[in-house]
Amino acid sequence: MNESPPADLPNPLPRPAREREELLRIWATPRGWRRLTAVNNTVIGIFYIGMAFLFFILAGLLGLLMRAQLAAGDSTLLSQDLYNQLFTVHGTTMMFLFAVPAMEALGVMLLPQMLAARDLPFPRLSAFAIWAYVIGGLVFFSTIFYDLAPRGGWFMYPPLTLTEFSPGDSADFWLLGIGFIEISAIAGAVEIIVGVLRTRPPGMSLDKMPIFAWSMLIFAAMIVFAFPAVILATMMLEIERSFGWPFFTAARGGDSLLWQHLFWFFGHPEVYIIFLPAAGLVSMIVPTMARTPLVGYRLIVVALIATGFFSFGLWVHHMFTTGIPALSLAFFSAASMAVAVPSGIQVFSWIATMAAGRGRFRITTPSLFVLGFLFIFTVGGLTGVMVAVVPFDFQAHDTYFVVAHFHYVLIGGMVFPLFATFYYWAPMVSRRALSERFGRWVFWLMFVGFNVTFFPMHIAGLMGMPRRVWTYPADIGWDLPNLVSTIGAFILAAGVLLFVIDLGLRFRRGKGPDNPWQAGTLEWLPNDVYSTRSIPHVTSREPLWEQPGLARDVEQGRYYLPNAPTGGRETIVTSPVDATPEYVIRMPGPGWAHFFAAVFTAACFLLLTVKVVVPAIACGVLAVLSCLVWVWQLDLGPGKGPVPIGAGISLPTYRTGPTSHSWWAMVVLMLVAASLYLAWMFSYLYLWTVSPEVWATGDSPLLPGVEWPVLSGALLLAGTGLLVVAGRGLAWTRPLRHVSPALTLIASLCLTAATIVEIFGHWTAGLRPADSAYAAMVYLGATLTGQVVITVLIMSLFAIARYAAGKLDNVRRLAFDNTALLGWYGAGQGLVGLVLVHGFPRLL
Amino acid sequence: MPLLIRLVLGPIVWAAHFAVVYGAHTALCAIRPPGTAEASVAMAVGIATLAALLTLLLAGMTPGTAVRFRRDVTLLLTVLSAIAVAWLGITVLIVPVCTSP
Repeated sequence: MNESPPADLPNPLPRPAREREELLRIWATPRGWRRLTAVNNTVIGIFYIGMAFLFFILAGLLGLLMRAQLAAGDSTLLSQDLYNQLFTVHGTTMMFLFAVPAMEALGVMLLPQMLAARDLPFPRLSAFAIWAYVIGGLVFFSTIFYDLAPRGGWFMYPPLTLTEFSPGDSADFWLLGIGFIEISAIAGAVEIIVGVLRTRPPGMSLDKMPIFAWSMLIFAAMIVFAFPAVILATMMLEIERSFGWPFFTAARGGDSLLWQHLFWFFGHPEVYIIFLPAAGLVSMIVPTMARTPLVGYRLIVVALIATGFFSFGLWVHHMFTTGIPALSLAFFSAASMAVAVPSGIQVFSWIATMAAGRGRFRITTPSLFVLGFLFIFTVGGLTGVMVAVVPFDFQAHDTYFVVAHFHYVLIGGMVFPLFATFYYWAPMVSRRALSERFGRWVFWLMFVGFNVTFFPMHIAGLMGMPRRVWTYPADIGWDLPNLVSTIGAFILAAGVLLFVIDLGLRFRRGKGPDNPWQAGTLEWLPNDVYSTRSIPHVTSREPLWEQPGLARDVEQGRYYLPNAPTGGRETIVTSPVDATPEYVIRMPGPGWAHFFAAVFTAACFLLLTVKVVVPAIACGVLAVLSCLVWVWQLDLGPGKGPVPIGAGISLPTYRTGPTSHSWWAMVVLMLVAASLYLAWMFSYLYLWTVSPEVWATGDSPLLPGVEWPVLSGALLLAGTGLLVVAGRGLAWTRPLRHVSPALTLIASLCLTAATIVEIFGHWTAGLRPADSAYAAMVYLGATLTGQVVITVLIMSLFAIARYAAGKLDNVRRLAFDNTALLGWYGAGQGLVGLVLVHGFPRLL
Repeated sequence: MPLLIRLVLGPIVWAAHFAVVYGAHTALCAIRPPGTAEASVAMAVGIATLAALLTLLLAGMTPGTAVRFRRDVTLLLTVLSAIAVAWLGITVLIVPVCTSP
């Protein structure tokens, strides 16, 4: 890729008169009640952030209630039962409904602007994720008003959350209500990974990517590997509650510690999932305020990647007191210290950038929040290193010291950067910036309030005050630190209230002043509903600083794609490393199908929560149908032919195979499925180490004869082969080509039959899923593969319908390619499962 | 995609080492009778750590690209991973193997 901008800009002036009107018409936001169908990233992005912020306020109010209760000893303001619900909903809402969605929302809103893309590659997928989250989140939160909220803490440890100890539906609201919001997070992650890697502007090779894009890429990749673990755990606990499969019941070979392993395999990376994007935001704000490029760009990229990996080696440090062998603890202690290195690199980079700036570091409201973040997060990091030391953790475990530590890390590491973001990026989407005068008050109230609230908790914790107690005796010396904490909490709340007032007074949707902070990155280019008028050629990390006249030239339409050559929504797809233009992607606009898919998905899960099974299944079917209607409108084929984007470059408007964005999204989805399956394999082997006595052995009557796995494996291989032939068959001439869809169907039926054979084999051997942890794991493994192959079956029926409608052929073949990819993945997963389930016990 | 995977080869080796060491330790302590697992755990951790460090050394010596940014990122990640691998492996010399604290 050439490093210098083209000598002549890609497109000449003057531009045709109606070009801008055409763009405005195509990208127009639907009005009135049709606004629900909107998919434009700036519209839904704002809505997404707004909802996340609403949940922040709601959960914050619950926090205030808790602080009011704890202000003095022997308080009877709240009942113990309500208090349990409050801390559960507070933690769950903050983590699942505020922190992760807020970061995904910023990704949806800011990434296309920073990458000068017209939108993310799958706009309806983002909108689907948002609606599912909004509906599910609101219903979940409302349980607190009806005494229906879960009481098990945000991490819902069994055995407390098993049916015996948590009867009723309240725990199910967490398991099903939050469980499916994970789906929404994963949908957002797919969107962000493909968006960052494939919709960058020409010339923006990996080394020129804004740090926020790097951090969102790592964030999304971490979601792909971390969230499946908690989804599996959630499935297991819900299945145990509903059908009695004993994953966590010790009497039948289960182990409640398995939940902790799976939960924290998600839960620890989760902390970094929240922190990395926030660090990315800080890395964008600091250079602007210091008016100099970020010091140590490469080091920061290294730090982000290293943190992304190392954070997966920390989960047991939440479990130091569970009786795990000392050496294992030492492994996790070592990794906990290792992760401090990349975090330290980032902190030093920011300080160096501030020091390296031309002139003084500008002290604005965003800078204040960044400085506040640095102070608070560093304190939290230091107490983090303390609790990573096993003997100290034994003392501090489950005390208010830990509460103080993680609030320093989370509020310092995420909430302060988020407020910096609000003040910094508000002019991008609001006609007026937020008030600097108010902003300073907001900052100081929040900063002082935060420290007054949470610093005394270190002391209360060291004095022995345990977490999650609804009250404490008045005469043991805990009153003073608690009273101080409560006063601080209300100061903090006053800061947030002032921010809300500022928002109400000044935030108005629309175009704000151009580049008010004189920043260097592309989101400050002049933009409208269509994003930027033309897509720039980027030659540096801070194009607005390094490429004079860029804003003007982009706005005049002199760069790439200043028009809409296909007559619809589109953007340029570039190669993942060097950002060479590859093709123009035609994107869907507003629609109802994804909206109803989200509504019915939410309805299905929420009705299951309250055990209204038949309507739940009906909603599930409607959700699948909505998805099918939604995808029916995609895969438009090569009909529009190659189109010119400027500089004599003509790009195709359709792409299949490994370079298409569809293929990339499918691969990411397969990684999600593989992570889920790996979590299951871990669980299978883990429970065997705990309860080898319930496991089948080589000569056990519980293990089906060899003929069963052989037959199942043969069917999987047959399905794989048939999919290969079916793929080739699309190129055959009619009438022979008609064989291809038939083969696709037979292939997916083979895969389905393989799963049925696997289940039936165990059933005839006399194994029942509720018998033991072994039996439960065996049937769960088959269920997971069953999920994949049923999806493949539905997709192959869909492909056949496309073929019959003339929308699938050898060129226009995404529907088939995606079915085949998932089919091959499912067969591979099934074969691995057969080897484990039938091979491993024969080794014993 | 292979280019992207090459970029993060160092941390992938770290993750593989972590999984092998943790898995082997948990499994050996669970199935071997007390007193007999220690030597095999120490050996497994030692071999895995040496193998991982050797792989990282080789990966560091052949960054696979002349593009400065990608080469530097690959190298730095390899160095960080080597530190983390060594940090983890060394614990077996210090901490009792199968007993709980």
